[in-house]
Amino acid sequence: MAAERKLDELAADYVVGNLSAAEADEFARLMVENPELRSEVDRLEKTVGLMLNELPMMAPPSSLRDTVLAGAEDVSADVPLASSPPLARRTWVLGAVAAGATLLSLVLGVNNYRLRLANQGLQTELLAAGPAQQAQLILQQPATRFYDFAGTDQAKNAVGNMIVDTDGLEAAIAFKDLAPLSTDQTYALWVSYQGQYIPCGDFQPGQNGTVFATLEMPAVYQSRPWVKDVIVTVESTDLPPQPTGPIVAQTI
Amino acid sequence: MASDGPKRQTSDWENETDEALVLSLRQGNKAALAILYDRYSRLVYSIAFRVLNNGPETEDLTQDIFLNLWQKQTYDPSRSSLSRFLSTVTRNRAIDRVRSRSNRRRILKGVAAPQTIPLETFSLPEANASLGERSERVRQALLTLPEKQRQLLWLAYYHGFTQSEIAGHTNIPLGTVKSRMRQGLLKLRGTLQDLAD
Repeated sequence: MAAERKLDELAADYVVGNLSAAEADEFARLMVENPELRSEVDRLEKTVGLMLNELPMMAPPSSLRDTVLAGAEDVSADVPLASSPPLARRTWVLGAVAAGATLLSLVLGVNNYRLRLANQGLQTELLAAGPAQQAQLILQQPATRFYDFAGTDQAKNAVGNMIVDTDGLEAAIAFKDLAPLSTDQTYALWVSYQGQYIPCGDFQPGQNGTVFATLEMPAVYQSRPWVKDVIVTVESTDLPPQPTGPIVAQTI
Repeated sequence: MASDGPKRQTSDWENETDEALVLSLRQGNKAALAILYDRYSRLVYSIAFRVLNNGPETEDLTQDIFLNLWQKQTYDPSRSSLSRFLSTVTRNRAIDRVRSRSNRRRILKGVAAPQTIPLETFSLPEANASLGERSERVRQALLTLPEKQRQLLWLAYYHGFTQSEIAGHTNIPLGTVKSRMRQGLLKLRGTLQDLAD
């Protein structure tokens, strides 16, 4: 496809909805390889926005906006604005994810995750692409939840992130600067849901304090309101049913 | 495509791309939903109204479309742009609603109407004075598009037709429909390059 069409034509095909499913898969791969393609798509989408502003559209009643936003309140947890910083400030997060991008692709991609990559060859090419772009591609997929973690006073330098495949109920986690523990201790991850903590497994950092691991997620990830609070605690290796140790990292 | 509605704590997000807003939406950020609503509610509402021809039903479907975007993550960015997804899904959902009422008269009135729209029906409303020069430039760019390209963009974005539906309704081969839409958008982008950067 790429050999037959210029990239700007491909971008236009994507924006106006010309692409078949197979072409869209290849376009997604090309977007990973060509950051300029993403910029061209943005320009074309902005052009469409300019055009739509001039078409004789009807304005919905102003009250409908409030109704829609109130409806959104009812079907999901209220997420304070401060908890989700603009994307520009998220760059460091993608960088952190990028460190484990190959792992994420293998875990999420191979396990029937909806990356929509047509075949193994494409997947191999994706793995060869820039890891940050690859992580970005993963984050764009449907049924994906993404969390940032920050260390508490117990682990001030710790940062991390977690991607949850809510269809497959699997998560890939990445942390750095978590201190090694004694042999009778472990880090445990807990999801907060309706006032209770649900255990989601435990993990140990490597020698350099980094963690790349996959964990099974509880079924609450397929329920509403969406899970938004996740914590990491230090526990004894015979994990208690509810967290008892200090919280070392939590979602922000 | 901002509406006249009130903005609430969304000023930081207004220049974000659709892609960034959808990603933020998936992380549960309602501010992203507000911005996307401001961008596309007129598109969704207008397409729905043309099929349903009923204010309360149109409002209900508009709400449904945006809440599905929020709750069920119905949009897959790897398939198409958000504007095309919203325009086609709105039209299809509106048609489903009409069909579910088994009201043949409404089907003929609402769904069949776009088939009979001649090229001449492409028309622009009075220029938005508050947008001034930019609005006028976009209008001129649209008017200088070759008519055969403008017509297809009109059917796609004003009526929410898929490419296959456009081909069926206009008797233009599907490949030609796609190439004209592509050329039309690229020409618009070229003409309005400084506004789109």
